[in-house]
Amino acid sequence: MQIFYLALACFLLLNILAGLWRVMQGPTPADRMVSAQLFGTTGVAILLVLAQALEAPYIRNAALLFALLMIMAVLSFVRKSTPKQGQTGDGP
Amino acid sequence: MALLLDMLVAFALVATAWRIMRSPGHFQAVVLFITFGLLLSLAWARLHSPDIALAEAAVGAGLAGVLLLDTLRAVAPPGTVKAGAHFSWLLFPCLLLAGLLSLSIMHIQPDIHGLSRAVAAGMQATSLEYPVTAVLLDFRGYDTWLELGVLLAAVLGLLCVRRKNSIRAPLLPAPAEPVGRWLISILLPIIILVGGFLLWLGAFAPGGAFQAGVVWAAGGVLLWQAGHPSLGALPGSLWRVSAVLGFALFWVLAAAALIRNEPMLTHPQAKGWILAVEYAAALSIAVCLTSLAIGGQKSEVRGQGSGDR
Repeated sequence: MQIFYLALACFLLLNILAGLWRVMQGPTPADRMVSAQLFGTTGVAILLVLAQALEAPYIRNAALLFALLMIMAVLSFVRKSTPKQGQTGDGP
Repeated sequence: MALLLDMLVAFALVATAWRIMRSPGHFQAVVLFITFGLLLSLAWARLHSPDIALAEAAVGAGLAGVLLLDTLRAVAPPGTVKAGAHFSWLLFPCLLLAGLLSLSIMHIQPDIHGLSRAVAAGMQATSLEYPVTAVLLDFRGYDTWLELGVLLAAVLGLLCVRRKNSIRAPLLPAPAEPVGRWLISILLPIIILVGGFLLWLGAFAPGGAFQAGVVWAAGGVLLWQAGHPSLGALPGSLWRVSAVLGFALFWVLAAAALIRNEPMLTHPQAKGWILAVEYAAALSIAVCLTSLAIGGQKSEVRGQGSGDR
């Protein structure tokens, strides 16, 4: 069963590696931000699977923190790209 | 299969770090840095260090992303970011340093237990059940004390800079276009609960003051981002007292031990006393990190900040 969990974690990690391509290519900042958020979700899954595979239940708390706090970067990003903020940023 | 996972994590870490340095745009580097924090947390989890994985998760997801994105907006307006400023002349010294550090692996004793045996032997002397918390608050309390001092010094420096710009309030007014007011009612109770949970967990399991403080600080940043008036309404004196509390309790501990003619920072082995220090440290860490994260923002309306106080 441990082999299965570790293989699952490897597969999810490969997903993150594939998603890195979108972060590098993504034409707009929104593409990059969304893929980082998807990494957050995948990371939560990997941490949960690892907690099961390594029999270390406290890793689940790290997954909890990611699930709870990944939205903070999005909030900041949304604030960043509001038009009014953009105008003040563009000013001389 | 475990080896494959380790190699994948290591490859992803190195590749991401390399790309952060070589990325053409700063925004891409920021997003990659958020990803890097996630991968780092995975690596610590894999290395059976849930404490550091927790700290990395809290800092990486809760504070680092917000700080970097806001800094990017403050220092680099869109369109003016210059690409290609790479320090290629640093490559050789860095490689040399990395090689020397790698060589030091050979001098590490193959005994993988490190100091954990010494800690396990000393565990009877403390009233805490979890070795990491015992090291942080009891055996090496001096280090934790000084770390709180470093945080406090950073906040003081920030206050000095803001005083120079004649901004008196400890915090800035809410951003011009706050977002996610509706999120507060969903997320903030959970953030406070999870922070308290980690703090409570620290006495006997991975968790503790720093992780809890960072989670609460993320809650403070959430309040500020959503433009909620509650943070700004806190009186300045209360703000200062909570920022100093953790450092001050350690100071009282040290002074009391000197008066009782004992070595510094030895304290009565009461669990309540250690937990009081830990809870105060968590509160101070939360307040200091919140001040650092949102007190340093570039003010949109300069006059408003001084008008509040």
